[in-house]
Amino acid sequence: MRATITRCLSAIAILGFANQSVAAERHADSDASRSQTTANQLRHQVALSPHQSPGKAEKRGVANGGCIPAPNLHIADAWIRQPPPGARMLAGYITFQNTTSRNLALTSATCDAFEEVQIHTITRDQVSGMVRMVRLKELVIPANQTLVMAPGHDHLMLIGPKRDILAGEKLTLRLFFSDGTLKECYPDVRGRAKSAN
Amino acid sequence: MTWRRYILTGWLGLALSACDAVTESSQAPFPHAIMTPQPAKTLPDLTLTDGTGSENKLSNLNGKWIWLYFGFTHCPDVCPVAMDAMVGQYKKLKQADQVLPVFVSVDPKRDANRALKTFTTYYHPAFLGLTGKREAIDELTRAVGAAYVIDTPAKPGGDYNVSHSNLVFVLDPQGRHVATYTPEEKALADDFNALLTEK
Repeated sequence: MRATITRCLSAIAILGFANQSVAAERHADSDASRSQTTANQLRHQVALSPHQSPGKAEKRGVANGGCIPAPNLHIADAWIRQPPPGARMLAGYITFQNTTSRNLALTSATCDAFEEVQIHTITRDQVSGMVRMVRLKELVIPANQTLVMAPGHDHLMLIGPKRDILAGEKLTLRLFFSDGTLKECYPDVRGRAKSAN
Repeated sequence: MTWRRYILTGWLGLALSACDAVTESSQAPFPHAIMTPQPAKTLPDLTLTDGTGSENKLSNLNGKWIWLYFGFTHCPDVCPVAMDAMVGQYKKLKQADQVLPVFVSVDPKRDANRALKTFTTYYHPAFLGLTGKREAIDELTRAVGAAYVIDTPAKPGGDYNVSHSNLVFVLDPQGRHVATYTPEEKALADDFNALLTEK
């Protein structure tokens, strides 16, 4: 009997500790990313929670900020152009392969090394030759198709580097999609010789 | 929508025919230019600065062919691509000493300092960076037919974007605007290698 009670108390203590750990990790995670967390991400996190079982939700919550990893979206290439010295805005490019039978839309992104990440495209005025960067609310990746972000076209704009960004290093981008899924990718920073090719 | 497309196509066709006619009639040495002003347009002799405080009159640059590009150093996507393309073409020139690529920042608020020199040197040490007072920049862009729009930052003191022409304006050694190119491909290098070899 005493042994049973001891085991129960131990189990309760372990569960309590585990819950505290999860809560602490979540708290730390939310603190670290609070300044970057957009309304879109919060919407994803809230929208997803009813569809997840508590156990899986906790694991996913810790790893992915409450979002389900995007299983049928592949990233073939991701890179960021090394900025000239002092540049406050950088461009990043990703190739998406949507292997599902429904459209997916990239709705927001974050990167630890930058204050903000926006989704942009470029429009051209044929008369004046003026190019205009336009911020997008979302970028649709059509069903069963590949979308290639490229210089002079669709791209991510990474604003406000928090430190020097060096050629050769890999950064972590977190991409949030319209169906509530999340994809993490690791673009490499390409120097001028590589990015020009 | 279809008739609009046809009208647009018609206009484009007419415009392209006109460009061809201009190019052929003048036998201009810029076969790959998207536009060649007829006659060559003399530019106002404006004063610009190189970002370190040194003033440069446009006429001081006379004697060389100028590849004039308008942009801003914080440009994340368009200017880097254009600068890389211009550097690539500049390196292909057989007589590069006769050509001076000039990057004019239309964003003097952020670029009227050493950042401009750092930016151009990052791409190529031979490239010259210039900017200036808003009035001078506006007069120059108007003269060559360039355009730009400075966005309002989302928050006071925040980063902002600048939309601008993505074109290279060629000035002859007398400082006249004689041709306009897109910066991509190898049109500039091909035309200038042919032009400077002939002389």
